[in-house]
Amino acid sequence: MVAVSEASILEADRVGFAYRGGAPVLSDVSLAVRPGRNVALVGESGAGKTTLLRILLGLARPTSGVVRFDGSPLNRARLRSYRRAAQAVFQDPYSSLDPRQRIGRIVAEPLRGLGLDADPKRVATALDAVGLPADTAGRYPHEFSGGQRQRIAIARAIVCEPRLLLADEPVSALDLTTRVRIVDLLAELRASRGLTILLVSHDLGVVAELCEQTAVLESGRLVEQGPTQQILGAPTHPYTRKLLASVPRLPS
Amino acid sequence: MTLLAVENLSVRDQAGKALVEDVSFAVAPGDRTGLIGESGSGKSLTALAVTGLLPPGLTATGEVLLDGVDMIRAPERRRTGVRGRVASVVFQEPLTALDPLMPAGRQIAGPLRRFGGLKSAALDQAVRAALEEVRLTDTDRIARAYPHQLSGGQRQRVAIAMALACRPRLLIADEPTTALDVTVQAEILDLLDRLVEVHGTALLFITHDLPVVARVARQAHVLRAGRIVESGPITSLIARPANPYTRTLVDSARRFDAALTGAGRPSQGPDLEGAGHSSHHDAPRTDDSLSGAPRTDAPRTDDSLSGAPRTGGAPRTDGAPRTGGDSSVNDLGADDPRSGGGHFEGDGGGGGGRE
Repeated sequence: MVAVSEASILEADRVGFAYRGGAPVLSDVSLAVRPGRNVALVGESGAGKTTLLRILLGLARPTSGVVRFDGSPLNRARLRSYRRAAQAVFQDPYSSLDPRQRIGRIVAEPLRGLGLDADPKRVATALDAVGLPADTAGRYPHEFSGGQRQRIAIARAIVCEPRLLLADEPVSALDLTTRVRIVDLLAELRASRGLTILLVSHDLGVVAELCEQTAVLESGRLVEQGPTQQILGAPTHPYTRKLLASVPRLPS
Repeated sequence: MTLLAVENLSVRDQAGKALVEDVSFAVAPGDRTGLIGESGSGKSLTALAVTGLLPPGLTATGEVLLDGVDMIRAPERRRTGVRGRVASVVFQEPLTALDPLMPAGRQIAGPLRRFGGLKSAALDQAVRAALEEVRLTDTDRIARAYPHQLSGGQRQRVAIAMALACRPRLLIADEPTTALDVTVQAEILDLLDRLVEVHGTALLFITHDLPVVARVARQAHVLRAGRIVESGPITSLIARPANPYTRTLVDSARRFDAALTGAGRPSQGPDLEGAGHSSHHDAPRTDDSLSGAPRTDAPRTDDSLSGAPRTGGAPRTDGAPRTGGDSSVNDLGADDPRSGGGHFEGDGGGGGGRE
């Protein structure tokens, strides 16, 4: 159980979700993200990871339970301040960038959306932070590879200097060597910008690299959560054990 | 006699750009061979060239002999005779490999009727046996089901049943588990492992995933930008990679592997700031991120193994691959980002994505 804590940036308290007339997609999910402690949400297809993330992003409303941001319920009125504090990165860098907009405009989008000053300098700073040169701003998405596009998506997410990054399988679509570099980048941003990451991933290796906390979701329920070290080192739930045992390992 | 002999295979696009260049390897009956590569390495094109199924606009040169049939120059009729009977393919995404408008049973029946000459009751029986062989229990229901009514794992089992239905001597598996959940992946790998063992089928396993290929293959070839850069037994490729690119691949895989191992170690918790500074292979990387120090200063877990340069914030140097798409600061500044991408006009894909 996660204790309700004032210190959480984001918190799901007994969140449930069901489509009308349908079986519950999520039941009784409680999860807290505290500053500086990255949280991984682990599970397989259909477990409800993406639904939970949509709820945590304020894109869907839970059918039961409540989502709290900085201690108070996340509602329409607070959505704008929440957006400033929490941004998202998605799995597929090919569909998450508008092909007809220049990178500068894509990266500045959260600034415009939040009514902040869309100063090109802030865009340049964000691009620089993700390791892309300033002239990137004048180019179009098709000119970039998958890993570079994911860097652009990350630049867009950090341009308004959020405290929290919700990342949905941010490296799953990338090659292994690229994956290493993006994981390095996320770790670096976290250190340099005080960013906390909620990482949705099925890749336990990436989870072990980036997150202190891990929550395991199976069929809409959190079956186990706690320090990553404990979850991966001494899993108690059979599903977590099965998940771990399934990960192909390198021959030693 | 070799089952598959590939000699100096090159695949070019219309502009004459080589997407696969001078690739040679052989697969003997019962062999288990891995083709390892990232996006744009040419691994899938090699598989397509082997089966004579290159898309229009791409031309192959060199020699591909599949059971003695020249898969580049032989007339289409002869090449068709080899497919399914001698070699069959399982693709990454079973949803696109299966016909959405045809029940699974009929799709498996196709090759059985065609190559096995089976009819009516014997055909039904064979379809059921094929489904049972891939450990699908509710065979009657699955045989009647359309692909969209099946789960990803069930679909891939159906695709494997189809591929193995006519007892090919070579099974080509192109990233067969990449689209699957990790628990399903483990089951499908076990299944493939067992089936090729039981039937003595040779396996050509194509993947970007080192731990996966290590699980099923014995020999492996590492492809990079269309060329084989290193070949050998998979265990020694992983233990002692000679080529810098292979080393980068192994290091990347080892890092996540080590993180998993390290995560299970109670003594090396994330709050022990100094833990990362011992240069053991399996020291968890999580440590230095918490210490607040930039990662560049902390020793990389596998430096001792590789001597490969750090990536991340630090400028990249020569050993790192160009394929796979993500260029960091320095080389981006130096050239057009396009060139870093490993984009291949022919496969319609992009640099960083999986194929």
